[in-house]
Amino acid sequence: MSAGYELPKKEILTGFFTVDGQKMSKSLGNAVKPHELIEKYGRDAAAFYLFYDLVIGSDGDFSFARLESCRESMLSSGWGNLVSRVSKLAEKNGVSRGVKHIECYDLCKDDKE
Amino acid sequence: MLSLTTDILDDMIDNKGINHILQLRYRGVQAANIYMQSTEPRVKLKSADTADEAKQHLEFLLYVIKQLSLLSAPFLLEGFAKIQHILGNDTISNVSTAVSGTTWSEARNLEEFDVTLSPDILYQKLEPAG
Repeated sequence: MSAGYELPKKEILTGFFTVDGQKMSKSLGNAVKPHELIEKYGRDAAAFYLFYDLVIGSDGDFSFARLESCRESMLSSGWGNLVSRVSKLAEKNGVSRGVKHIECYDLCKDDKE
Repeated sequence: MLSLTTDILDDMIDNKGINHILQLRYRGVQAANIYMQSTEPRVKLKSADTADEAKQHLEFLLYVIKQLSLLSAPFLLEGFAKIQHILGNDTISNVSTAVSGTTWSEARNLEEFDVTLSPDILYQKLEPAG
């Protein structure tokens, strides 16, 4: 408040996390450090995995294998390859616009319009 | 028809349905990849008879990429910034990563838009451990 920032209207909290089915503990040394996660996998991959796989408000099991799988199959291969292939092919062949040529499964369309 | 409004997006976030949005969005990514494979623009570009058709497929895929990237803009910040650069369209580049806002809606409603493409790798493959 003293800094002049508006206070958050809502806080979204997670449940408890286990790691690969085990409780996080100092003796096991299996605590997940967010900054290391972001450094290794990137901010998008860390956020995507947490949002995609773990339901906010519920307990969840954190898995490095699953995080890597999400990053590689969904972000890098599924999404990244699509963007890369389309943009390279389009650029090489002089495509200079995007067009909604066909009515499609529109995730962004507003029902109220 | 599956539709998500900005209001619905806000509502889903308020009600902790972010994973549902991302799961729906990923289905869109899979559908776009299937479209790319089945329409074969790379093959069709090689023949003068089908080159125009191939370019239409690519134009449509650029539109789909724009829509999918807007949907994940509040979550995949780094990727969205790269896509803004890749597409090179002013309206899309002006979008902030906040869900709501007129710039987001303006970009979402673009059904035909110019691009100045600068292809780039969105997410580098991870180096194998070891």
